[in-house]
Amino acid sequence: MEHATTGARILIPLWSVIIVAVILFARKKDLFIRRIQGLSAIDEAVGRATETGRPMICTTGLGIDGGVEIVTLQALSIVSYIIRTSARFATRAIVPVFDPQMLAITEEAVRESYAQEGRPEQYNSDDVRFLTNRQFAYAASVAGIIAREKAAATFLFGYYYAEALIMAENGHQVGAIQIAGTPATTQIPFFIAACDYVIIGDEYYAASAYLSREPTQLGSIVGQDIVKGFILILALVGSAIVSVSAFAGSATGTLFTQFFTK
Amino acid sequence: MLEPVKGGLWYAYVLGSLILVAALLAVLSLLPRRAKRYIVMTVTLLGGLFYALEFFLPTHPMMVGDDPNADGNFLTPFIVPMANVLPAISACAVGLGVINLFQLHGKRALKRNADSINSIAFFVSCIGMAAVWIASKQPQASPLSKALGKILFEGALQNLDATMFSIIAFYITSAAYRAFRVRSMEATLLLATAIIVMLGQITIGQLLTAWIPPRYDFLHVEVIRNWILTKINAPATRAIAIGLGIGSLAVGLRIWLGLERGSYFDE
Amino acid sequence: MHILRILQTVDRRVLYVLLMLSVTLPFFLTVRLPMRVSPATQALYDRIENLAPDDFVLLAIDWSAGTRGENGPQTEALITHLMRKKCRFAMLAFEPQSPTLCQAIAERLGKEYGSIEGVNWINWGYRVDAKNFLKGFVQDIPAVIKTTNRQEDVTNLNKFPIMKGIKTASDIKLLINIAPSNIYQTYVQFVAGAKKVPMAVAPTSVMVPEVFNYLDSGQIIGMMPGLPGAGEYESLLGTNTKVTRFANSASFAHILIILFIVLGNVAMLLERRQNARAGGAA
Repeated sequence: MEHATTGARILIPLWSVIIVAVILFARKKDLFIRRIQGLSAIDEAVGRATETGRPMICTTGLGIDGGVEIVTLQALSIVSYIIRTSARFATRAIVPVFDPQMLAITEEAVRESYAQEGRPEQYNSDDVRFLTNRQFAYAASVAGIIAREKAAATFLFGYYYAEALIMAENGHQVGAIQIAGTPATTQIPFFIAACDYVIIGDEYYAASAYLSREPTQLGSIVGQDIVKGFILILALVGSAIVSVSAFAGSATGTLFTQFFTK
Repeated sequence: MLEPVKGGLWYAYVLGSLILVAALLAVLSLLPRRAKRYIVMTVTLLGGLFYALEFFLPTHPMMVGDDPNADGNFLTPFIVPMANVLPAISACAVGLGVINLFQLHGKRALKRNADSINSIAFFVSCIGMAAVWIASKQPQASPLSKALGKILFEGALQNLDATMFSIIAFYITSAAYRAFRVRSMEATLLLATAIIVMLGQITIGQLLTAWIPPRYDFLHVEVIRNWILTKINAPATRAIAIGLGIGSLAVGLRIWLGLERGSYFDE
Repeated sequence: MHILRILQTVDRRVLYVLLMLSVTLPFFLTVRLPMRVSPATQALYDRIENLAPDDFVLLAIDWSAGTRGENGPQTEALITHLMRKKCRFAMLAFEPQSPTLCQAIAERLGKEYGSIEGVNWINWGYRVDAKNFLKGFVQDIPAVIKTTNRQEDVTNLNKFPIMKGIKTASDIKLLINIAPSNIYQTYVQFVAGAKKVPMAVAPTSVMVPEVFNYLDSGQIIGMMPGLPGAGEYESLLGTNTKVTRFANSASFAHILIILFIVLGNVAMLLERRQNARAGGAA
């Protein structure tokens, strides 16, 4: 659709209001979200890197279309948490960047993470590096860094394509503890085969909220769950209406469908 | 709206834009952090508002471009100019990446340690490739530059790229062999499904069930594969996609309305 | 080491060598294994088959040399079909290597089928920022497409008569995205969905499960799934190129992977059983 349909004109603003309302509510009252298994392993992975004295590699993925994207910003938010954790133990973290537009944002986020832990001197501008925005050249570069630095831990968050397995297998070969998280459903099987922990599907968006316990993010997750419940009910009711009206020869099903398409 | 200019005026526009941007950056760098944050938030809000309003506001039949049958609202005529301006801004960001690469590898090359050779290789490849490619694309390009361009692009870059992609096949083999073990009921189901899907997409696999008469078509491995992909895989993927879509809406709202907290949004 | 243990811990380098052999040896086989055309490939073929001569098709080509093995044969099969049907087509890319790669394919096939650049086909070249670009593109093509891949002025209709009558995305009779990424979703959202342009996708094999969603919902009308899809399409076109041999390689490589997975599992289960018996006896 080039412009909003009736359904989109009503539902998207409604969902937006719900999400924003829950975010504002979360700033006043504590909200609960369940534990995400893979994220608990982050501390373990950072610990392993600290013990071995070898660095960690944190990537934020290629993004869906490249540029500054929500998926990549979400990955950066998780990487910021990892760096805050590692800063306490003076463990080195290397952040290879794929998209030049993300470079300045990544540099700023990493610098701030060290500063928040009171270790601004640990920030090394050489460790946040733009490699290339070519898919396989990036994979080769990251694989090279993993092998040369003998990474103790790799954190692969963000959106990936076929290069996912190249990086994950190289991490596996150097014996790194690996944690991956991606909304790219086609790459989840590869990460599951090569990584120690994988955060899949919706958990990816819940990850930074779980880690930071920041009210805005917690509220956002609970708000999303309410909206998803709403969509589920709508899908069930819609299926019933369309099926019954098709069976009864009524036009109600068509009207219901047109609400979303016209 | 926003027609291209040619000749001397083009140089004036480029120079003027550069001066304007430099002046803007100078002013921004002098501002306190709080003020910068408010400017970023305001620009983000206005940028998002444009596309949101254009999408949600009611439309009416109107002339858009050369199309007399289009629908739109008062913001629709600005979409095409934005489509010309915004990609240009995105393209400029590539420069940021190149500057970072030159800074990083410049420092490393000057350090003269074991890794310096890699940084020198970067400069040679980057500058060499750019120079040869530009030279080979000129109207009066020499046969030498054309041949060099062909060697570097078709001979080196294309094959290096293809090699990296093909390495995945080796990694898939070792990862599948290592990971597909029937340690539980779920793992057994996963393995059985994977084998059916793999057999269903190759000719040898299809031959295995080719003898089954057409009336029992549903027993053909490629038909079972198709059923798994469309009736089991697709709904699961769609459910995840709906969740991710709502996730994107939530993160988008947080950024757009300045609700986000975190290192690059907060003070 | 016990044989059952060895079968469970085969060195990855042994697997790599066997895989290389299973991929390369079929190149020397002339056997053509029969191929069953999937409904998705058939739907795409039928749609092009039903286009009228001079209908305008947009080939959104977004692959680089890395995925040439899969996306190359797909592009060749589609261009062959469009040239045979005498349809007009334009190529547009958001991937910098694509214009050069698809130009070479179109020029080569153009000589074979008498298809002339500028008259029957055109290469619009590389563009950036897909979302913002496509939002303008659907409304006013001449306003955002001003030059070809070689920076020639496309408004010169004497040189580029193919551009006559191409004003908005509604003038596109079929859009086909050939890519290893999910840029097809951007096309679904901003072109196919916005102007109701029929759309098909030719993804790499790894992307296929995701594309089924859009096929199932009717947002795309057909799909050429990876290299096997290109092989199926060639069998429909009746062309016999190296894709058939590539398909044989894919078959043998799949069989090798399945074989090792099964061997590893059988060995694991047998070893477990032996250990249980030994434990029971003790």
